[in-house]
Amino acid sequence: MEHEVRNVTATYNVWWYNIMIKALNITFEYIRRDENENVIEIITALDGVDLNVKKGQFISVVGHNGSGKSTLAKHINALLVPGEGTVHVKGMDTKDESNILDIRQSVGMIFQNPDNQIVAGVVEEDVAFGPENMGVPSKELRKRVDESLKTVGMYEYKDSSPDRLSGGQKQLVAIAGVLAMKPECIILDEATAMLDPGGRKDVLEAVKKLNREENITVILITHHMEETIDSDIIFVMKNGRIVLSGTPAEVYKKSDIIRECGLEVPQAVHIAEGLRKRGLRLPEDILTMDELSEAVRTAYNKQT
Amino acid sequence: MSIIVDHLYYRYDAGTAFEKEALTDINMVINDGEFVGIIGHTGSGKSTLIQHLNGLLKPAAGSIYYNGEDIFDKGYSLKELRRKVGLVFQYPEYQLFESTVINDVKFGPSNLGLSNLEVDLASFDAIKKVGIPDNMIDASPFELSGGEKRKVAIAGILAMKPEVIILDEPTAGLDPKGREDILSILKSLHREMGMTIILVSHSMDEVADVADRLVVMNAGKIVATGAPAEIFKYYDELENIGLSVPQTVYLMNKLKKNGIDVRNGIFNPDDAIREISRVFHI
Repeated sequence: MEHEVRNVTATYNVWWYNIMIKALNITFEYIRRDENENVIEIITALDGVDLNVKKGQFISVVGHNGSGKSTLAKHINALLVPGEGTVHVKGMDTKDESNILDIRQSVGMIFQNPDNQIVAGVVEEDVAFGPENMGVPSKELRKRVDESLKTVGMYEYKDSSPDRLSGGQKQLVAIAGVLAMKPECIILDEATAMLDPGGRKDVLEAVKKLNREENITVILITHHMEETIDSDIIFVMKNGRIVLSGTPAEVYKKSDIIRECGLEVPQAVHIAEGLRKRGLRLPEDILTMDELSEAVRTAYNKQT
Repeated sequence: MSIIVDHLYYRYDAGTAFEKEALTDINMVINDGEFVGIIGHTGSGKSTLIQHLNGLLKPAAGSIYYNGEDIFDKGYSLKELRRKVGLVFQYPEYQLFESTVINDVKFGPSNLGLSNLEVDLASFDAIKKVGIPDNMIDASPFELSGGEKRKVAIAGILAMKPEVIILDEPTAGLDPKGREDILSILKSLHREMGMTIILVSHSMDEVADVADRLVVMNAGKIVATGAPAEIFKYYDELENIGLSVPQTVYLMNKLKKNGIDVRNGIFNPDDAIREISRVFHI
């Protein structure tokens, strides 16, 4: 462990060895100007956001449309740099342009629309696009493309044309493309929003597996609350601020705040809360329908 | 006033090596004033089917009757049909193009040969129905949030005063609040205006909440149709074709299997709270 710390401090100014992302007090404004360059509106997209993500964590960021989730995500791989405050990825300041290539290789991003991120006419060429541009030698490239496609379960489609794939399959190909660059962190910016339940499940399972088995840090941006219940930490955003954070059980206990943010708690949480209000004694940490049905059964057996 | 789909077939890339039957022997009736949900997973043929309903696609075989008239007959005005049967595509906000919200909404009716006054009245009325506030009508559509843009796109269809409105995944990509807004607009169009509404969705929770009747599609065929509570009884069959029942239905079934005597046909979380409370006498 000590060796690791020494090693990194030699390379970067400050990098606490297990911190993937450290954002401190970041503020970002979109400024609208008229044709004479006069400022006509300032929209504060991020307003003093702190974010601390450890290596290997599974993080969810939820919030209403326009709450700043995507703006925050774009700060993490240096697509945007903060107006105020700092973002460090593995100790690298995103404001320092010489870090940008390293940052983008460390943090891969998957966007909402699967059709906008496919660049090649054949699945395996699409996956190869990123690493090829990084200058990965062809033998290694072949290996990485095959491995990445196998990891997401799309290997059998490697010779297919992407436009014959479903939305969910396209997202899996996009994830394989990011994986082939060997990132340490993957951000999914509402990457499941356009998918049907089957596609959403496939994508979610793929990233959970990467997190579990390859220790890849995952930042999942979504407004499907059910997707967040296995996260280590959930961050809830509203109007450019993080208003709530904690484990799923901690966060969903505060259902009033969640609703104020224009969001909904998972249905199991909602039902459990309603039953508790009517006087049924149920555990406080119910998140899924399976947990809820178990708890109701236990309560029922006690009663009869 | 009804839509009758009679033995409809459709093939993609007909006559080529890629020929694929997208719709097989579709038969259905949509009655005047009904709120119908069409559900099925990606590729089940939902979008292909609804594009036939206003004549955008021509079937390989079969017919569609709108108010008793075959819409693919020579001499039948498809232009008139498309005014009466409004279709809101997936991600309709990508189709906004005018400089202001009001101009975008006016685009449809102003191409119908109406007077300026009629166009204005229809457009302002449509904007009001979708709940876009007055101070937004001169804004550029591109300044609006995703949910607002979508409302503007729906207003553009409403301004043509359709009798039927078909919406393809109108809540995809919206946050819970945005989703709720769109659904309540649809509910009020249905209840207060008596409009016929066809809602295409892959979210069971969503259609269960608003539709009178569901049409379930799989692999280009209609596999079931009926009231939501009836459809959700076919729990395993729905899972087999890649659809999940609303989570509440899942919970209630599980409780029933565990010997807790809850009633059938509950798919809304608040009803579930009441029903479980009833069993516990609380």
